[in-house]
Amino acid sequence: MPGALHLMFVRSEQAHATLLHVDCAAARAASGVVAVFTAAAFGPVFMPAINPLLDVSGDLRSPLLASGELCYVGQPVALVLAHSRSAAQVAAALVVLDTTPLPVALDFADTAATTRVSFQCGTPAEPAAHRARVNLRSPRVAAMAMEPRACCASWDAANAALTVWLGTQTPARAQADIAHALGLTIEKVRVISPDVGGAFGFKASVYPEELLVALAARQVQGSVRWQSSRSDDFVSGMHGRGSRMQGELALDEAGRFVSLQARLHFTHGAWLPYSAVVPLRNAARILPGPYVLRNLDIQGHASRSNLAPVNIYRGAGRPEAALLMETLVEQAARQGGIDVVELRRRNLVPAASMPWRSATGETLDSGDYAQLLDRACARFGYTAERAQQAQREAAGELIGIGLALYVEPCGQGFEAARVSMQPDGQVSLASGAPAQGQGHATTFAQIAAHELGCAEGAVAVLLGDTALCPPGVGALASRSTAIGGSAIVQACRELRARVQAGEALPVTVEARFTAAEAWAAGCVIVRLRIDAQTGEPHIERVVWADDAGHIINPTLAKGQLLGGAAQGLGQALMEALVHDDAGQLLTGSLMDYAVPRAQDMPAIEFESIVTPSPNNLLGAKGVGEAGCIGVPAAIMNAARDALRHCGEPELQLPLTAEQLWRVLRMSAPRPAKAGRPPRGSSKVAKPHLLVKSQA
Amino acid sequence: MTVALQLQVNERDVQIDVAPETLLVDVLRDQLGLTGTHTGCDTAQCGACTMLVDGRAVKSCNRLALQCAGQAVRTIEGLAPDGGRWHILQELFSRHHALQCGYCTPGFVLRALAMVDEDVAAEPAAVRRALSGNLCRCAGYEGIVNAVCEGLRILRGAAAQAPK
Repeated sequence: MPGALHLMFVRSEQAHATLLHVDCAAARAASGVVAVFTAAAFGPVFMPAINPLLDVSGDLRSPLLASGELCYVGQPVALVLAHSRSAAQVAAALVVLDTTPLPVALDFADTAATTRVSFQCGTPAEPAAHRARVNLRSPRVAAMAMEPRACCASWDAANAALTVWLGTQTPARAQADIAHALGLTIEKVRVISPDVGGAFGFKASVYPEELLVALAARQVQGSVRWQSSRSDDFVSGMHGRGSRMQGELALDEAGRFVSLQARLHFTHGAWLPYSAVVPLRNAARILPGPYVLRNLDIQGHASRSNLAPVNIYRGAGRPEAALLMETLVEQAARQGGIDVVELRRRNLVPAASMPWRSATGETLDSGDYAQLLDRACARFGYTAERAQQAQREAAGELIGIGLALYVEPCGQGFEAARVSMQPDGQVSLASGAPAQGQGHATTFAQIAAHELGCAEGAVAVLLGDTALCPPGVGALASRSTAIGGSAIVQACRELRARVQAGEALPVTVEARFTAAEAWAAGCVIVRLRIDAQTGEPHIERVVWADDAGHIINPTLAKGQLLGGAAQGLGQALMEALVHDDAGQLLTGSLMDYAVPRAQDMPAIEFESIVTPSPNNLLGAKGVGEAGCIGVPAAIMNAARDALRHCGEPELQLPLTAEQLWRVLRMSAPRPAKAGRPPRGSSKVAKPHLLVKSQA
Repeated sequence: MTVALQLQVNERDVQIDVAPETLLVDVLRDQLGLTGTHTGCDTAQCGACTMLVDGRAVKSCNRLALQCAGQAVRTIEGLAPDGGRWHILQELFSRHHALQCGYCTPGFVLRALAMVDEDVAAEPAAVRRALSGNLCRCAGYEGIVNAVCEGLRILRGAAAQAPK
C-alpha cells in the first residue's frame, strides 16, 4: 500500500484503573508523526452488538479506545500515525497515561453473571446407585494463528468510500461492522480478505483495532496500515476457552445413566466480542453428548473480568462439553468397576433412534455412535491393549488408556454462492465462506465441477472479497463444506437447469442455502505413559474414528483432523495463558507459551465411517473442530487412568509433567521396587457386570 | 541515518541503503518487496521468517540486515524464480498436503533445504527434531515431515549423482 501511514496503538499497562488524562504532546512532536488520536477524536463509537444467543444483562457497550477507565492490559488507549513503523513505535512510547489503580477482577472472581443458560429436564434428583463427581478447569488458551492480526484501510475521499484489507473469517459481517462504526452505508465499504495465515476463531469477530484503522484512514483522508505483533496478539487478542466446570453423573445398578448435573462458569474477559456467548451456549446445549440422558440439571453462567476478551476458539464450548462428560463417564466406570467401553455401550444413543431429540432440545440429525466406538476399539485392539497395560503396570510402569466419544454440531443458518458460466464454458464461483487455510477453493471447485460436469480446472473460485462475493455468514463452526458447499450445489443445479432449458450463456445464478445443524461425531482412544520419576506424559498411541458424513475431499478432511488434533494435544498437554494477580499476562510470548512442535505430535491412526447428514445437499458434516473436542478429553482420561491408583486425583489441563509429578509425589507411597501389585481396578473389568465400588 | 548495504539476494547483487537497526526480514519484505518471507512472532521462536544465508538456515527476524553484508541470501522467491517450475520441495509440500494456510511454509521449505547439507537422517524422528525451530499451527506436521523426508532423499541423491 504505497503511502500508507503506519499505525501503532498505545495500550493500557494496567488491568484496571481510572484513566485521568492522556498526554500526547511529546508523541505529537516526535519525528515522522502525522497524528495522535485518543477516544475524543472519534466521538462515542462502540464495539458492535453481540450475537444474542443467550440472555445477557448489564451494559455491554465497549468503547474502541479507552475513555475514563482502563479495563484490561493491552486495551487500546490512543493511536499514533507516522510515516514509518519505527517512528510510530517510538512516538507511541512517548504517550503518558495518568491513572489511578482500581481493584482487579481476575477470571471467576466476580460471580455476577453477565450471561446465563439453564436446562432443567426430567427429574435430576432421581435415586442412584453411584455418583461420579468431577471438577474441571479449562484454562484460557491462544488460537495462535501463525499470522498475527493485520489490517489496512484506504479512504477514497472522492467517493466517500473505504476499502479495507483484513484477515477475517467473516468479510460480510466485518463490512457491516466497519460501515456502522463509520456511519456509512454497507455499499461504501469493501472488505478484502486475501490469503489469511490461519484463524481458528481468532479472526471471526472484529477487534477495536480494526475499526480504529478504518476510522483513522477516514480521519486522515488516506491509507493506514497496522500489523499486530505476536506479543500484542497474546496480550490483547481474543483468547479461547476459560471455564470452570463441575459435574455429577448418577448411575443405576444396571450401569445406566440416570441424571447429569452440571455447573458451568465461563469467563468473558473485559468485553464481549460478537460470538462471546457461544462457548457457554455450546457447552450447555451439547451435554450430555452422544448419550441417552433425560434427567438434566445444567446451570451455566459467564462473568466478566479485567482480562482480555474471550471468543470462539476452535471448538467453542464443544471441547468443554466433551471434557466434562467423558471424564465423568470414565470416573463412573472406575467407581462402578465396569469397563469404560461397556459403560458407554449401555448408554449410547442407538443409531436406530436417529434423528435424536436430546433433552436440551437439540436434534442430532444422524450418526452411529456404537459403530464409531466399535471401530475405534477394533483398530486399537482394546482387549489386548488392556491386557498389555496390566502387564506393564505390573512391571512398574504408569500406563493409561483413555477414550472420548464426542459430537460436533456444525453450524446452522445460511451461506451464499454465486455461480456464472461463460459461453466458452469457463465457470466462476463466488462464495460467502472465505478460507484461512482449509482449502475451500479446492473443495468448492470440486463440488461445482461435479454438479456441472466440467473439469475442476475450468472453475475459478473467488473468496473473501465483499465486492466480488455474495454476502454470507463466513467460515465458522465447521460449516463451510456442509452449508457453503450446499449453496454451491443449489446454484449449480439451477444454472444447469436453465442452460438445459435453452437459456443462452453467460448465465449467473445466486443461491442461498439454509440448513439445520449436522452433527458429526467420533471416538478417540489414547494410550499414555507417565514417567514415574519425572511425571512426563508420553502419548504412545492415538486411534481415532471420525464420522464427518459424506467427505468431498479426503486429503483436506484429514488435514483438518490432523491440525485440530495438534491444537487439541496442545491444549491437553502444553498450553495455558497464565495471568498474575495484577492481571498481567505471564505467558506473553512463544518463549513462555508452548504450542506443539513437530516432535510433540504422535502418529495418529484413522478410521472413518460415513453416516450422511440429511440436513444438507451434500450429506456433509463438520470436521474442523473434531480434534480440539475429542483429543483433550481422551488424553485427560488416559492420564486419569494411569494415575487411578493415586485416588482419582483432580487433574487439570494442561497435563504438564510438573502437575503429574506432584500428584505422584503426593499420593500414598508405593513399594519402591518395580513390581507394584496390580489392584483390582487395573484388571480388565468383566463386561456385563456392574459391581459397586469397593472404595 | 542510513548505511549502504551490499547483499546477494537470490543470486542477484543488491545495493541498498538501510537504517542500522533494520532487521534482515524487514529489508527483504519492505525494501526489496520479497514478501514470501513471513514474520510470525517477535522472539525468534516460530521460524516463519527462515531464509538461507550463505547456505545456512537463519531466522531473519533475529539478524540485523547489516550483519549480512556481503553474504548470499536465498528466500522462497529464489526457489522458483520468475514463475518457473516449482522447486522439488515445493512440489513435495503440495503432494503431501504439508500446508494449509501457508504462512509457515516458506520457512519450513528453506529450513528443509538447509537440512540437505546437514547431518539429518531422512527419517521422521530425525526430521522432526531438526524442524523443532519452526512452528505450524494448521497442519499437524505429519505432511511436512513426510515431504521433508522424501525431499532429503531426492536432493541428496541428485547431489551424489551430480558431476564433480
